[in-house]
Amino acid sequence: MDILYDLLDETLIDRNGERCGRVDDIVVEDVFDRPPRVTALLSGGGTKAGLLWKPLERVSRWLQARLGVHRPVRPATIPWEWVERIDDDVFLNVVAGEVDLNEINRAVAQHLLGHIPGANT
Amino acid sequence: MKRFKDVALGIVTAIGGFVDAGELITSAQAGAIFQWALLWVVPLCVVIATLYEAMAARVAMSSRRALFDAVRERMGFRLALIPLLAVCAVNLLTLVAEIAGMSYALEMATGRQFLIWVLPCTFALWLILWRGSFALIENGASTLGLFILVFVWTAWELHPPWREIGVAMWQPALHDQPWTLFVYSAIGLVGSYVAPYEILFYSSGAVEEGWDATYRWPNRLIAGLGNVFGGMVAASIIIVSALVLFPRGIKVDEIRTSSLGLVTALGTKGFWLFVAGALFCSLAAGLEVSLSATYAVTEYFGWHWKKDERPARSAMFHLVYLIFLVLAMAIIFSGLNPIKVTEAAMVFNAVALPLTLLPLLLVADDPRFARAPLTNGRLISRLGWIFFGLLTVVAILGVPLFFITGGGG
Repeated sequence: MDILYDLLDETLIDRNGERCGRVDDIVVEDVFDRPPRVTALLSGGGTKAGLLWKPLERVSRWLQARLGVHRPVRPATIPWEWVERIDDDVFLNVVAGEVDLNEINRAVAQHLLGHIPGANT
Repeated sequence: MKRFKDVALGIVTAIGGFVDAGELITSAQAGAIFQWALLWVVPLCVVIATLYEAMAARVAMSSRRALFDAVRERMGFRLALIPLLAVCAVNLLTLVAEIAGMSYALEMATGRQFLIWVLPCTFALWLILWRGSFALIENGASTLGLFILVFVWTAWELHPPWREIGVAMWQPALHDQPWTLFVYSAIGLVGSYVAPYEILFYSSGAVEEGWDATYRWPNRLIAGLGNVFGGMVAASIIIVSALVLFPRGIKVDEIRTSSLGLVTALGTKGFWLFVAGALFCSLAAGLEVSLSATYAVTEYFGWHWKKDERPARSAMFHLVYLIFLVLAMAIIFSGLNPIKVTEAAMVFNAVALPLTLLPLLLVADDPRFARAPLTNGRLISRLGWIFFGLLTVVAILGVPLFFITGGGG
C-alpha cells in the first residue's frame, strides 16, 4: 500500500512538461483472488475540497463552473495506461489539453485572461 | 562570468527584498521611540533570514521543487492548507502595505492625495507582472530601489555615537515606554525583516532560474551578503530616526515622517531620494509579495507556473495575482488606515513565520527533498530548530500584544 501514499498529492506532468494538477485520489481494483491493482488516478474537480468538508466540494464545483469549466464539474480520470513513469512527480504520456486534464487552466485562459492583450505571446 | 552576474544581481534583489514600505515605517518608528534600544534585532534577523532563505533554495536546488510544492507533498492536502492560508493572509496585508507605500511616495512627490494613486499603482504592478520577464521583476525594481541607500549615507554623515550604540545593543533602555510596546515593536521589526514572502520568493526564484547543485556558493553569497547589506540599510533607518526624531519626540505615524531624518541632513535632495527609494522599494516588494503568494497557491494545487511563458499556458497563475491585487486595492478603498494595516501586516508576518518555517524545516531535513550535498548540516539544522522555537514564542506573543498595545498605539 506504500505506493498509494507515494502517489497521493504528487504533481502530474504531461508529455509537454506542463504541470496539470495533483493526484487527489486513486481508483483501486480489488478482486478477491488477485492483489489490488491501481486502475486510475483522479485529479481536480473538487475531490479534495470534499474530503475537507462536504459543502466545500459544492462550492469548489460552483466556482469552477463560474470560471468556465464544462458542467457537470467532476474530477479528471487518468487511466493507469497514461502513466509513463513515477519519479519525483507522476509523468504522463498524454498532452493535458487533448484529454481534458487541467481543464480549469484552459477555461480561465479561454474565458477570462485570453481577451487581455499579450495573453498568447 | 554568469555566476558573478547572478550573484551581483541577487544581492541587489535581496537588498530590495529586505527593505520595503513596512520596514520604512517599523524601523523609523523603532528609532523614534526607543532610540538605539531595538538595533539588536537587525543582526539577529540578518542571521535568521540568511539561514532560512539559503535552506529553502537548497531544497529547490535538490528537488527542483519550490517550497509549497514540497510542503504539499510532505504534509498532504489538509495540513499544508494551514501554512497556505496563513501565508495568503499575511501576503495580502503586506501587499496592501506596499501599494500604500507606493501611493504615499507619489503623494509626497506630487502633493495629490494618496488615494488617487492607488489604482494607477495597482495597475502598474499588474502590468509588470503580466508583461515583464522574471529577470525584470526580480532585478529591475530592486535596482531602482537602491536609492534607499541614502539612509546609509545619511547615517554616516550624521556621525552617530558608535560607542553609545554599542552599549545600547547589549543593554537596551526602555526610555520610559512600557515593555509591552518594546516587545511589540521588536516583533514588528522581525516581521518586516524576515517576512514569509521573502523566503517563498527566493525559493520559487531558484526554480524559475533553474538553480542546481552548482549554485551552492552563489546561494550562500546571495542570501548572506544580500541580507547583510539589507540589514545595513535597516540599521541606518533606525540610526537616522534615533538621531533626528527621537530627541524631538516625533512619532512615525505616516511614511512622510520617515523622511524627516533625511530632509534634516540633506535638505531637498534627501526628500527626493527618499521619495524615489520608498517608491521603488515598495514597487519591488509589491511585485515580490504578489508573486510569492501566487507561487504558494499554484504550487499547492499543482497548477502550471513559469513566469517567462505565454500567460495563457499558466492562466491560473496569472489569475491568482490578479485576485490578490484586486483584494488589496479593495482593502485600501474600504477606508482602513493603510499605516495601521502596514504595522499590523508586519506583526502578523512574524506571527505567520513559524507556520512557514516548520514545513521548511521538515522538508529540508527530509532526504527525499534535500539530498546530499544539499542536505542541512547538523549545525544548520540545529540552528534552524532553535530559531524556530524563538520565532514561535515571538508569534505567540504577537497577537495578545497587538491588542494590549492597541496596534502599537
